[in-house]
Amino acid sequence: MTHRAELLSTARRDGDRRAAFRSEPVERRARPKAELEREYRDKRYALESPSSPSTESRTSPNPLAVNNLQACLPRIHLLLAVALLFTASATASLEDAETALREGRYDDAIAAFEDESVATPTPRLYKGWIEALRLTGRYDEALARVDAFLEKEPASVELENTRGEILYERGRIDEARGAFEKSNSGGARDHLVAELNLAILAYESGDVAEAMRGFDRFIDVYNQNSRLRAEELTAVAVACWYLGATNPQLYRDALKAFDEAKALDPASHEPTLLVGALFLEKYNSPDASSSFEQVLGVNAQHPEALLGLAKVKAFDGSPEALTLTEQALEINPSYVAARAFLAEQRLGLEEFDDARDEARKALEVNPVSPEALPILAAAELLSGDGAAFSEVERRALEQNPRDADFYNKLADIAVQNRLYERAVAFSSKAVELNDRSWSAYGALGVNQLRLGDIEDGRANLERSFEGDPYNVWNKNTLDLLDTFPDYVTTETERFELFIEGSESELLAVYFGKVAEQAYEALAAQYDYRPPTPIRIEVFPSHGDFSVRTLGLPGLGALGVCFGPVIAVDSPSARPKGQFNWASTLWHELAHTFTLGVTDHKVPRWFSEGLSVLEERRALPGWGDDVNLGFLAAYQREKLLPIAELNNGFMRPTYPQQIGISYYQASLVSELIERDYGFQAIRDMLAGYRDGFATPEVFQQALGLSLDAFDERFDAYLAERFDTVAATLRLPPEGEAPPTEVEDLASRAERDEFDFIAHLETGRRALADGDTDTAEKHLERAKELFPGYAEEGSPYLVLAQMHEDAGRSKRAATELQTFVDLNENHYDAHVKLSQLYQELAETEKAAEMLERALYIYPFELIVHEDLAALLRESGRYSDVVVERRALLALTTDRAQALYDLALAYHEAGDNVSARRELLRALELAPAFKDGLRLLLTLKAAEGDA
Amino acid sequence: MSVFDPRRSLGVAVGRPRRWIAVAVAVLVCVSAASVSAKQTHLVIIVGLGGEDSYREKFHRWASDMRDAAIQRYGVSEDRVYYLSENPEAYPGTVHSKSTKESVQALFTELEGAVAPGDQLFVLLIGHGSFRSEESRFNLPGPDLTAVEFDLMLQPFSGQQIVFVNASSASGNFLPVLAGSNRIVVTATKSGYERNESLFGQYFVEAYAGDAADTDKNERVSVLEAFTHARVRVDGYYAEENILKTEHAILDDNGDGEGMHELGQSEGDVAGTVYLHGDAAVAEGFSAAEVEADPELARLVEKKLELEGRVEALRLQKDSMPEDLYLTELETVLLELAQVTQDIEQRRQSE
Repeated sequence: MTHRAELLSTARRDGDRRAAFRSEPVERRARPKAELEREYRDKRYALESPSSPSTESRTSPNPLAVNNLQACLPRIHLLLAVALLFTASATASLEDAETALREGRYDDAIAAFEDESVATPTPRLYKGWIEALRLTGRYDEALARVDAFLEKEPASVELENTRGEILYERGRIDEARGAFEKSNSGGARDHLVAELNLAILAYESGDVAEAMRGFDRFIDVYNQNSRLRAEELTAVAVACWYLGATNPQLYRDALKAFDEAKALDPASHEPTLLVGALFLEKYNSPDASSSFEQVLGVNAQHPEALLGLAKVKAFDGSPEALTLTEQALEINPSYVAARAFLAEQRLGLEEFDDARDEARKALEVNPVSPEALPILAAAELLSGDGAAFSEVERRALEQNPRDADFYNKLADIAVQNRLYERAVAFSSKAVELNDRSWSAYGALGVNQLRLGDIEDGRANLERSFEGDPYNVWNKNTLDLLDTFPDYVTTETERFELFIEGSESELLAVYFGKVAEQAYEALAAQYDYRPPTPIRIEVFPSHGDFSVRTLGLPGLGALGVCFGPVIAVDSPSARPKGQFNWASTLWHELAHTFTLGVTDHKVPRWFSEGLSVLEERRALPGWGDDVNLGFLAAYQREKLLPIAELNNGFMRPTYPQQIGISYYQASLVSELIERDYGFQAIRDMLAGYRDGFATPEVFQQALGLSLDAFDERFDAYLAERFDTVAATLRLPPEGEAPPTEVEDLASRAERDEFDFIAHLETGRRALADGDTDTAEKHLERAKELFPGYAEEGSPYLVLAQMHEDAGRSKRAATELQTFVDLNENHYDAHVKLSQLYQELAETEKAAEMLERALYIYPFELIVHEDLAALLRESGRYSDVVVERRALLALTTDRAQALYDLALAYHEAGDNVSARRELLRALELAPAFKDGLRLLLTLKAAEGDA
Repeated sequence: MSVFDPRRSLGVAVGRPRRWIAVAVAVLVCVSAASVSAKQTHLVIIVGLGGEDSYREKFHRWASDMRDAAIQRYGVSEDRVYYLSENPEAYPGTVHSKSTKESVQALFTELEGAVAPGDQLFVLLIGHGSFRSEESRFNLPGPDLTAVEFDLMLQPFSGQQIVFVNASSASGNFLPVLAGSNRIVVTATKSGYERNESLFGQYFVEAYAGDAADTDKNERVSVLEAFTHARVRVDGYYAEENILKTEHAILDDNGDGEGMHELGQSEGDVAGTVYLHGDAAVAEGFSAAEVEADPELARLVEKKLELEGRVEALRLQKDSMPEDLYLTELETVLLELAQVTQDIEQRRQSE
């Protein structure tokens, strides 16, 4: 420990030349919620993410896992050695070759090195030549160049480390070890790099103690030598990085050493690349991005910088990740790390066969790649081939019996595919193999929380955070857990409702009711009953919901389903009218069924489509409906075929694509049910459960290939939307529609099929008081696009117009159509209820208020009105529900308890009535109405 | 006989002294209903400088509502309601005099002879306040009155129950100056630094003018109920408007000068038992004279108050009793109370 302290003190003596580690550890302390919310707003980790089960797949907390780093270390040192030589004297043509290499003109560089090799066959020239070959994936040629040099200089050990690194890239580990040993014992100029590489090999073969001793020695090297070269400082930095697992302070020292290396050799890309990787590992994507972009600014063809940036993009949830990875592979088709990363992204898209193919290609280059093996294993597992999985697992453990990162990666991928129990099992194995795998503890904790195991989850998160105080996910989640004592758990028959204390009394009533109804309906639909209790967590702060889901704020979703645990925004988490909490809950609960019935193997698109379909089935207006965005996408042929529909959720390429994909997926389910019956959907789910891929599932359940189904689906879309889509008269993409009143009016006059022109002309005519013109155009707009129920819908405008004119019945008709299409418009529901009351249609009035409460249940007056309407309709047991809600909202508790008691009494439940009445009279013993009711109850008891 | 005799339990509950204040008051009320009915409430409403017409109108409306509620709802005699206004000419017949410093001081001097020991003196200030040089003032036409000056005016009333409510802005520093024995002091703000327009007065008056504040359903509004109602309504207003709350009303009823916004164990027990008129019989729909003239009615009223006291005492035992037993006991008392209440109702209907 002494020498570590020396290194740290050296950093201080150097006078903070640069902040040693710009990525500060995050501090854990109990903080006021407002402060947390402020922090959430200020964070830069905003993620755009779709809702529901696999949203977290795009935000794998540690996309550049340690094993990725380890795999790239040896070759990085090779390049460092080359870079160092750039600074020494050289011939003009050698300098040209080296410049070409630095700038990514690899063919020019290789040709120039080859030309120059005749005149100056030095280690420096050969290292540059070999590096150019390595970066372009020509490993065998690179080894041949090493041999060619040795033919000229048989006694030299100067290229042994380089040879070892190329052999390592090919997975020839024993040979690589021999080469590193030869370099180290022979006193090669880069023998310290070789020594580091030997420690890395020890680490990767499971001899962690030996590896740590090796890394530890580099601190002595640093402290005892003030004149280290850049490559040696980089070796020190990498050693500190490994040692950081035992002492997080050493990550700062790693950065400091990297900075020193960069200062000594500004031409070298390697310290910058490693700094980028370290920042990314420590969850600092902006600084990581900056590092990789710095390298790409000089060499846009650098495959390692491209891959690094791809990983940053993946971390940020950006679809550019895939393109960047493919660019890296164009430059180096044998780039194992990039191939493995591509395979991993394929897995995230549930393209298991493609992922398997990519992983196998990577393993053809390096059969023991610690990056590719877990991806192949995951692909086998997700394809349902347990034997193949076990074989890959055996291969990985044979290589490194303590390879915690193999299981860490499997856990990540399991989470991406919503296999939370598997993830817990993999993380548990990881911590068994390496009790300092902090990311494993973190993943274990987070996934235990997702499965409802709060105590164990918290304990593992605490342990993870202790070892890795940079992990903002764990920190945020732990902060959120600190607020859990403010929550109240309410149990219903099948649910455990976990709701913040101030809202619990009110929301538990409604969430419990909706959840129980949904369970019954879905159980009948799917012929499956998920294990209970199902835990529903309701968060009054969207930031808290987001942290519960992803560990970070910024999630765009309203709810998420982990299977046995559902987390949702409380209706108070967003402005009134922004979402319908009940349909959201129904949607998420449908996931619990489709995930459960398939052992979590249902593809994302199918699960989402069914959830939307189930929403629509539950209540008029619920679930996505056709909108302008969908019709525009349809008309512009931007809808995806079934085989690619997952991309619409997980790798959207244009705004609104996620929402459009939800609707499209629901239409697919709807078509299947229409043409084949719901049993076909059950059969499809069974097919997924049995491990079949989508093409097989369609073939077995529907007797159709995917292409054939796509054709049928196209016909279905045409049948439903061709007419209405044509009325949109969409301008060419990227061109704004006309907005001038005259333009619109003349369009409406000359084109009776122009929906937008009629709608806008009607609205503007109404604003000008010309109701006749307004009505004519608005009615036409309705005819053209009857499903249009967004803000400004003709139904809304006409309803207002009719109401202003005293035509309540017509206003009610318009609003009824509107709310049957739009589930979120609170005011429209309330207004419609008032109209029905005016029209003496009590039951309809009550129904509208009940539906309004599914949007926003916090307005006391609505509950009061609803209770009265229900009473008038004789729905006494529903009056009880409203009275219970009012109890939570009013400050006049005695009155509310009395009203509740009366409701129970009228519903025939005198036992509950007596209980609530005593509570009322306990507060207000002189309450005359209450006392009278007490006598009534007593008399009724006597009569009974 | 019940194991939990509330009267016996009163004497042993030494662990909760503050709560016993309320019980003691309740018991006092129940055993001396007839004598309580003889006590009178004297209500003084002082509306200060409005500054603008909109404020003048608003302040007058609040004052009028309070005056009407006191007289019409709670039976306070009109000649014991004193309304001082910036502009008495505008409201002939209702305003006692102009609300200058001199008039106010003269009124309190006059009241020294009119307010008997045991009576209640209820003072409500409506208007603007200020806080300068560490001194809170209530703004009047002409010279203002300070908290210290009000305290001097109240000194002669040491034998009376005083309720002093300053509903003006920046009124918070009145509380520590005026707090004392037999005094309930309420201010619209927690300090002199909360200088923005205060809404507290509007909702405090609303509590007396309507039924919403009567949360214990005894058809009377205690000072505590009025305070709580106003506080909750003020909170609701700021929350609904999504603006930062600039007023935090406080109440002191134990004389320690430490007013509390969210009432807890140290405040509120006395305020919960003090009503605008202080005459229980009136609340049952009978005048004090009618009760005195009808021994059976007097017995019922007294019985009712006694039973209410037993409920309160029983409630204090709740935590130490098995729930079933508690509920059984409670129901027994409440059934008796219900019967007595019904008898009183029948008696009134037969009048």
